Amino acid sequence: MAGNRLHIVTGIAVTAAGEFDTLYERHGREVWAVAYARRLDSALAMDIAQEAFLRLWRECQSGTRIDNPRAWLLRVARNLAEDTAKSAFRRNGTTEPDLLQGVVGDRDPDAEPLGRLVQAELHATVREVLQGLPPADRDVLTLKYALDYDATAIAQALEIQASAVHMRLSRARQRLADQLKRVGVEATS
Amino acid sequence: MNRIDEIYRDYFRHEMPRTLPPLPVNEPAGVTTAPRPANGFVLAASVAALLGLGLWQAGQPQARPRTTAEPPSLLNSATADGATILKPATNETPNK
Repeated sequence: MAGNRLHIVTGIAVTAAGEFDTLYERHGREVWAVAYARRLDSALAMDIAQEAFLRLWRECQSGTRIDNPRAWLLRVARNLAEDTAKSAFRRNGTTEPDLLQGVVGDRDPDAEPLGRLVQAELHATVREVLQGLPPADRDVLTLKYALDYDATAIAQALEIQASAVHMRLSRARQRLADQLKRVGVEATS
Repeated sequence: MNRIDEIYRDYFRHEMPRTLPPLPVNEPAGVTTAPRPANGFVLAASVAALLGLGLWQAGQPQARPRTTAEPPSLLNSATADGATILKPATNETPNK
């Protein structure tokens, strides 16, 4: 791959597939998070993230200069996720993830049956809350809780103000607290 | 940590893939690192190779099957019951 110089400006020029892999390692989860925030489907979000990276690779191969690959990737993933939502709506008449993929599978086989049931109930409640939130709020939530980003890192990734991050987090927390209260779960420590 | 944070974190940790699947960028579609030979050249080379193999085989002497069994002449008149086996051949003609 020695001849495949990628025209990416990331402080250090990315010159080969190995360095592109580094870019993927560094930003792959962020791109997944942005796609997930729009579709609430983990596997689909990963497909979208991979597609975004492959598009970046092709752009670089064709000689396009991309000054900020991170922002480019997040934008492309966001657009791809919205496109898949539109085509899902045309195909199925709905974009509700629960109606399309059914019950979310449990991935913790070691948990006690009662614990798994409680966890499944909580996750269903979270999903319900997430579906009622705007995608921009879900962006913030996914970056915070899936990737452990602080407000500054989230603001930088999404190119928004830190105050907007706090506002969205606060709204999302309140929504979940209200929803849990409605179903009889005390959520304040 | 707030219980709400805990619930959100647990949810997103379950949803997030454990590892990133490998990205197939080493040979993406439409990108090749080595020049491909022309299709016509490949076809011509294949035909020449087949032709050469055929000519070479035609020039080889006919291979004879190797056997360690008795010469076939002794078995020509053998029957399943072994009645005629090893009997010298006669010129008698069967009665009609």
